[in-house]
Parts: sequence; C-alpha cells; structure tokens
Amino acid sequence: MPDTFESTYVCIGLAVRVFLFFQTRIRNYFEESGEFVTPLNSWKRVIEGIYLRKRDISPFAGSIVHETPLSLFFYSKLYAITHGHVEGLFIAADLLTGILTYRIAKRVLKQLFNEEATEKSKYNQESQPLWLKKLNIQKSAYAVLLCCMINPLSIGTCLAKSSLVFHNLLLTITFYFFMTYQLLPFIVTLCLASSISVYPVVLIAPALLQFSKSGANNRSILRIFLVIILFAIVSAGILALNFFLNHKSWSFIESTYSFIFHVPDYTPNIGIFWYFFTEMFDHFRSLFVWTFQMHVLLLYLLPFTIRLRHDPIFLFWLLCAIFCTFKSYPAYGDAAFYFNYLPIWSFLFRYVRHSLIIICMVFVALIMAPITWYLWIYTGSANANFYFAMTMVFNVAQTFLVSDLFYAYLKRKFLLKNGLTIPQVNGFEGQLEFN
Amino acid sequence: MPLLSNLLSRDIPKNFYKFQFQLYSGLFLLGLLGFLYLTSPIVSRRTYLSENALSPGLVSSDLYISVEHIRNIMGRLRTGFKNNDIADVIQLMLNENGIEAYKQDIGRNSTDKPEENIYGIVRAPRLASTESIILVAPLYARTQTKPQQNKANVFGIAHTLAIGFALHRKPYMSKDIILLFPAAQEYGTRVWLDAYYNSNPQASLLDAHAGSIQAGLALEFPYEKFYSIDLRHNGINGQLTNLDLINTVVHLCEKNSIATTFYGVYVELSTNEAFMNYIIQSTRTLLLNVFTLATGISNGVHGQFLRYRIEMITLFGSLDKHHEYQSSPVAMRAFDDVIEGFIRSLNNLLERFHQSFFFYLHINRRNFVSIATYMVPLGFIALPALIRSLVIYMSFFTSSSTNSAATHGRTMKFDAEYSPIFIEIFQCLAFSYVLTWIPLKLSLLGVCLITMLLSPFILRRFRSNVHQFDHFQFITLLIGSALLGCLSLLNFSMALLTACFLMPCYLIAGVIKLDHWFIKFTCRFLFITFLNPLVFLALYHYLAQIIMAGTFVFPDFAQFSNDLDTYCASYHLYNTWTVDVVCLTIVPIWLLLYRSTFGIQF
Repeated sequence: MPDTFESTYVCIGLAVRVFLFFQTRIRNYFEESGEFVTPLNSWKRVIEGIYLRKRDISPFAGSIVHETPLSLFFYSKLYAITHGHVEGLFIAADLLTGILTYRIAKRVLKQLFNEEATEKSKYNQESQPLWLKKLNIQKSAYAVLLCCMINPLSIGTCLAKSSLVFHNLLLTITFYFFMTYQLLPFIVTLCLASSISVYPVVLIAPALLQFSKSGANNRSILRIFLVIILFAIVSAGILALNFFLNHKSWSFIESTYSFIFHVPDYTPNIGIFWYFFTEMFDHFRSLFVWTFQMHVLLLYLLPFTIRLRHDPIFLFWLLCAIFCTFKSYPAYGDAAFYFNYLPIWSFLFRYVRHSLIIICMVFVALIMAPITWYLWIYTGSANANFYFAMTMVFNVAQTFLVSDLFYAYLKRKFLLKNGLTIPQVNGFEGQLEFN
Repeated sequence: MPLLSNLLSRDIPKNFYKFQFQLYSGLFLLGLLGFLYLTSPIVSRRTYLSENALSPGLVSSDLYISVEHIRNIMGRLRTGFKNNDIADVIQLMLNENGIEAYKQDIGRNSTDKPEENIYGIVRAPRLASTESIILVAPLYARTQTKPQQNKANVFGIAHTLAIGFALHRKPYMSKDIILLFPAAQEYGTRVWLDAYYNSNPQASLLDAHAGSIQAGLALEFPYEKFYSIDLRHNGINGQLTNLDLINTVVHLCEKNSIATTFYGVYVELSTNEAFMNYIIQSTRTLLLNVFTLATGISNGVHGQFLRYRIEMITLFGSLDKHHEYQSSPVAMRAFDDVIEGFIRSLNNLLERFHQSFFFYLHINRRNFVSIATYMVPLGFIALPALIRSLVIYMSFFTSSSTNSAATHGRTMKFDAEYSPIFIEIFQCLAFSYVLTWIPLKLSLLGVCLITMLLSPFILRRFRSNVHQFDHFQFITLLIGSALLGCLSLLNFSMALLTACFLMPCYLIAGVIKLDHWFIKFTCRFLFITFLNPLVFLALYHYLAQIIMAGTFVFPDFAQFSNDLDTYCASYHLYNTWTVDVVCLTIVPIWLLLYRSTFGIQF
C-alpha cells in the first residue's frame, strides 16, 4: 500500500506528463530535438518500421529503422492495441520505471544498511558519523522517487516519445531482478536489453559477482559458468527469435548491431562520436571506431570489477553510468536513467569534490545546447563547434560525476575501516595516494 | 589522484568580507566604463573584406542607365500610385521588358482594393535557377522624421526596376535576380517569405520560384532625392547581417563618394578631424547599436529575411548633408553603380556568407568591435554575481584547514529546508507566466503596478532563516547568471541592458540580509522607485532619445507611452521574443528579489 508521500509524488509525475502532452508546441519541440531523439530511438522511425512490416517490406532495407525485429514486433502490437494513441503507454511505462527505481532504491539502501550492521564490528568506532542511519535511508528513497517524477530529462524523453522509455524500463527491470537475486528473469531481461542496445552486455560483470556468491566470501566457479552459459543460451535464443521474426533473414544485423557499432549516422546528439567522426579522415575511421567502442565496453570493465569486487550493486550503477555517457548514440534519456539513482548515493556526497562544478556544467549544457543549436541551424551565425562545445561540457560533467562518486565510495570505505584521524608521519600529516 | 585532496576547503580571508561591496560595485563600474572604452582605436578593429570572391564586383561598372530612362519609369510609377493601381503598373512594366512577373495577395485589405505583393524574376542565362539574389523595394517607405508616416517609395522602385531591366540577359549573370515589391512593408514581406519557403501551412503557394536566395538588398527611399545613405542592419532578436555584406556596400558607396551613416550618425574619418569629435560620434553609434538591437525589432524589411538566413541590409535615402560643401543630391549614376557593383559581387559568390563576423558592434562604417572584445565588459558586469554565488557557496560548508575537513568530507554547517525556496520561485514564475498574457491588452504600466502593490497581499510572504536566505540568494544568482549567459549569445545588447538592470537589484537585495526595519524599508523604496522595470524602461527610452538627437532633449512621457504601445502592438508582427524573455525571466527574477524585501526572518 503506497503511503502519502509515494502517492503524492506519483500523482505529481502523472499530472506533469499529462499536462505537457496536451501542449502541442512543447511536445513538438521535444519530438524534434536531437538531444532527446536519436536515430536509435525515434518513434517516427518506429512507426515507419511498423508500416513497412505491415506491407511485407523488409523494414531494414533502407537506413531508417534501427530497432530489432523483436522490439518492432512488440511496438506494432502496442500500436495496434492503442490504435496509434500510444501517449498513455509512454506515460505508464515512464511512471512504472519511476516506481521500480524507487523499489530498487529502497532495496539497495536496506541491503547496504544490513551489510554495514553485520560488519560494524570491523569498523573503527571513530567513523560513526559516516554510518548509514535508518532515517536517512527512507529520505533518500523518497528523493529517488521524486527525482524520477520531476526530472526534466525523464519528462522530456517521455514527451519526445522516444523508445528509450521502454529501453529504460527494461534496464530498470533488469536492475530489479539483480537486486532480488532472481537469476533466470535477470538473465532474460539482461539479454533482451543487450539485444536492443548492445551496451548492457557489460552488466554481466556485476552479475557474475552477485550470483556467484555461495558463502560469505566464497565464489563458486560452477556458478560463474552457469551464469555465462545461461547468458549465452538465452542470447542465442533471442537472436534466433529475431531471425525467425524477420522472415529468416539476417538483414537486421546490419541496421541494428552494425549501426550501433560502426556509427554511420552523424546526426548531432549529445555524445562525442558524431563530431569526432565528421572531423576525421576516412582511412583512420575503423581504428578509432574500435578504440571508442573498446573505451565504452572494455576499458573500465576489468579494473572496476576488480576494485569493486565486494560491491556489485555500486559496480552495476557505475557501469550503467559509463555506457550511458559514452555510448554511440546517447540521448538525455540515457543520462536520466542513471541520474535518477543519484539520491541513493547521497551518503557519498560529502566526499564529492566538484559538486558545484558538476551541477553548473550540467545546468549550462542543458540550457545552452538548444541555444547553440538555434544559432547554428536557424540563424547560421554560429557553427557546429558551438553545439559540440556544449555536448562536450555535458560529457565532461558526467565523467567528473562518475569519477568523483567512485572516488568518494572508495574513500568512505577506507575511512570506515581506518577511522577519521590522520596519523602523523615524521611530524607531518600522512598522505595516501592510489598507486 | 591524492586521496586527501579537497577543493574549496580553505577559508575566505576575513578582509574580503569587508571589501565585498566595494569589489562588486567596482567591477560593475569597470564593466560599464570598459564598454564605453570599446570605441577607442586601440580596441576596435578596421573592417576588411574577408571573402575574396566579393572583390571583383567592386572594380568597374559596365551598365549605363540613363537618367531619362529612370525619370520615365518614375513618372509612370507616380501615375500608378495616384490611380491606386501600382501593382498593375509594375507588372506591366516588367512584362514589357520580358521579365516574368507575378502578384501575391497578402490577405489584408486596408482600402477597397486588395493589397498585393508584386515580384519579378530575372532569370540568369548561365545557370539553371539554383541560386538567386533578391532586390526588395517596399511600395511605401517610412519617412525620416516621422516613422509612422509612409510615403511612396518611387525612387527605390524605379531603380530596382531599372537595374532589373539592365541586367536582363546579361551573359555574366549566374544567379537569378528576384525583384520584390512588398505591399505592407514587414507584413507583406513576411507573407511572401512564408509562401516562398512554404513555412506557413495556411499560405497559398507562389506562382514561380527562383533558386535558394543567397543575399540581397532592400531600398527604401521616401524622397526623390537624397544626400546620404543610412545603412540599416538591425535584424530581429538582435540578429545581424554578415559583416562582409555591409563592408561591400560601404566600400562601393565610398568609391562613388556617397556618404554612409549608421543610425543617422556620420563619423568623419579623415585625419584632420578632431579626435574628440570622432570619439563622441563613435560612442553615439555604439550606444545606438545597443539600444536599438536590444528591442529585438528590425529597422527595415531586411529583418524578416535574416530569419531565413538571407543576408540583407536596407539602404535608406536620407536628407542629411554630412559634407560642408555638399550642395547637390547624390547622382543617380553613382547610386546605380553601387547597386550594380553589389549585385555583381554577389553574383561571384560561390558559397553562402560564412566568413567574417556575425557577432559584432559597429562604432562607425570602417571600424567595429568583434564578439571577443565586447564580451569582456559584459563579463566584468556579470562577474559580481558569479563571485558572490561562489562566496555564498563556500560559506555553506564547514571550512577549516584542519585535517577533519579532509576526512569528514564537506558537511553543511546547517540543515536547510529547501521547499519554501522552491515554492517561492515557483510562485513568482507562475505569477509572471500569467502576466505574459496581459500586456497586449493592458499596458505594461498596469502590469507593473499590479505586480508591485498586489503581490505581497496575494502571495504568502517568504519566511526564511538566515541560512535559507543564503540558499535563496545563491539560487537566484545562479539563475541570473545563466540568463545573462544565454542572452549574451542570442542578443548581446539585451544582455548588457539586462545586466545593467539586474546587478544593482542583486546588490540591494543582498543588503536586506542585515535585518533592520530601516534598511528593509529603504530597499523596498529603492525597488519601487529606481529599480522598477518601468522606470528603467523610461530611463532607457529617454537616453536613447538623447543619443539619437545628439543634443539635450526634455523627457517626453507622452511619446514614451506612445512608443511603448506601438511596440507592444507590433512585436508579434516581427516574430520577436524580447517581450517573452522579459516577462518570463527578467520580471520573475526582479519579483523574487523585490519580494525578498518583504521576507520574514526568524
């Protein structure tokens, strides 16, 4: 039974979304804006795909549709049920994502609290101010819900009818099953999510950590293999399903996975790929495509997994943040997905060193991006560099945020174990550095 | 990455608090003076042609249009205007000379006859119609002294036609020339452009198209003779024409010894002119630039074209004499050479205007300041807001240089309740959102009075403690700086004036923190009198009047309210967003600051 806070927040979210859906001018703005809609998630393209599918023309013949056959099948069913009035579905999916995020937040915080309770004996008594408190836990969870409901980025994504709303719902469900230790549903949703946008594949790393625990500190190799084999089987199954839904043709690979990996579309978005590849000579292209994709998929995966081997939840969130920032066609909806979880980590904020800088950078990027776009495209007095500067600011802010939170997490853990007083070394305060 | 590093952990020196006020006001004044310093020859730059393709047209002229020919056209136009069938006359003349001509009904009848735009297309023999140049001569032009009065633009139309006839079938033309004669100035132009670009779904399609329009020229000549040309380049919403285009026109005019002015201010550039005179006239031009651009409306039909990325300026035939010995008006031959040179320069152009500057301020026809220079004074003016917000932010946290800061992290000194702050901001925003719907019917005066006198009664008073007030100030300062940042890119002049208005407001609102009834009362009084948006607007109008006239004039309130009414009535026509920005951002910020003087502290 939802309490008053929960229902009020959900009602606010519902009211704002419904109200804005009736404002045609605002809705049109979001539907056209490149910051919210990318080729991968534009609803216009989905409708085109549904139409082509109905006419028995392969939707993947041109370069318009970039959804997988399975998701296209799903959308066409939704479209048929609602007779084209899908707005309600978008609102419902967005609100559901919010409520699930709130549930996840509660679970995450409870689990962290319990972990701390059991390990309190190992902690230095001095570090008491850093311990989690029951009161703050509930507050943070409420903050997560409120954030989901009034986050302008989420609302914009919903208004733009970007299919990211459904992708985010899928990812949130994945996170939920991750938190509830349900292996099979988790693997299925993870495979679905990665079959749509590839990048969630990296989440297999925290899954291995989470599901391989057999005792307090033991991991069984058997379970690791089980998870990997399950993942492989389900992935293959989904691929086969796509193959059969596409009339036994592999043509969808070209316009989905290859499209995501090779980045042939340079429509400006908030990522860094488009500008970089427009500026570059073609013969370096494949080298840099591979470099950029390795940067997202592999570069951070191993070090982070090793460092955070005892904290799979934080690792899960961190990897989400990283691939949402650096993926090939990011939109604000991706950023909104992991921004909404931020209040969970409110106990780390005291160690975030650049909070003002990060907030100001995000703020500046959000309001300046449409302005520089207007100056570039409409009045012609600015050029692509202006717009790119803003996307750059947004990306740097996200990088700062992720690295700062990571740093704060590690620092807090260290201080919990070792206490808050800094020992004197040769009459000077000791300095610790990562080496 | 050292584990114990910490940003902003040091204390702000105590001395700094003592000199805060002096620092902020000093920076503000420095910014204002710095802006005036832009006229100095050290800072400003000399204009040059950045696009080489424009230069060949500047060299020699090839056409010869006899004066009799033009007088003949003017005579026919005059009878056309008299008989009220000017549209037919122009169409007939175009057709007689083998130029296709069409009419477009603009859907607005002022007299019994429908008003019509006429346009002709001079097709280029060298290329298919892929690109074109446009020459615009509105049927009626505003007179120099009374902007409300219109006179028939006989001279402008006649020259546009004559040039069109002369360039018809010239072998070197590679771009079409569109000759457009819009009926109701801005309105007619807008209707024609909407139809040409099919941007308005209701607009009926045009009968014929030429290629994409690259650039053009508008001619407004209310008199049949003129002594100098006033170049009008203000676009809507502070948009400006590419500097290369203006330089081309200035260069051609100087070559043909035609004096050119901006805003009617002529700056003598010869070396035997007194330096002081040069500075004064340049400052006048600079200030007029800022004052007129800030309104967001254009001073000619070219503003509508800039919206579609068609670079264009208006040439206005002025009766002012600027040379002491100039007794006769400018010769028609010289003027035709200017237009011919301009068209042949454009004809040579391979790309759209993209070189040179789009963000600049003219100080005279040969000198300008670019964005990199003029942003600096604005930066100085806005810097106090940034410094102050940083100071407030640093005071939020327990800041000690001891090691506890390093290990405890940054913790807030106090717990602040944010909801009343956001409710207050939301209230003010909602309030001014409602106000945006009013000013069209009610004048701004009423709105201001309502805001000031009623808002304390309608809305709940803002209750806060000292810490909350700090948070509140921090947020308003950030909003204000963000607004200035955005405006400075879109419309620098408006940003400058906004900064001049908002910064003192912030300063006064910051003083309210000293919670004493007398201070509060004084602040409130200041907000109502000197820092009132309406008073500021009146002051701005008066200053603009003085600078425009060049001598001292007495304030004229009747004219102020008259101008305000005209502006409110006409800004929709121009597609400007100045009023929206004022209503939705500047007024709420002012309202927030003003309402904070009523705040109760506990």
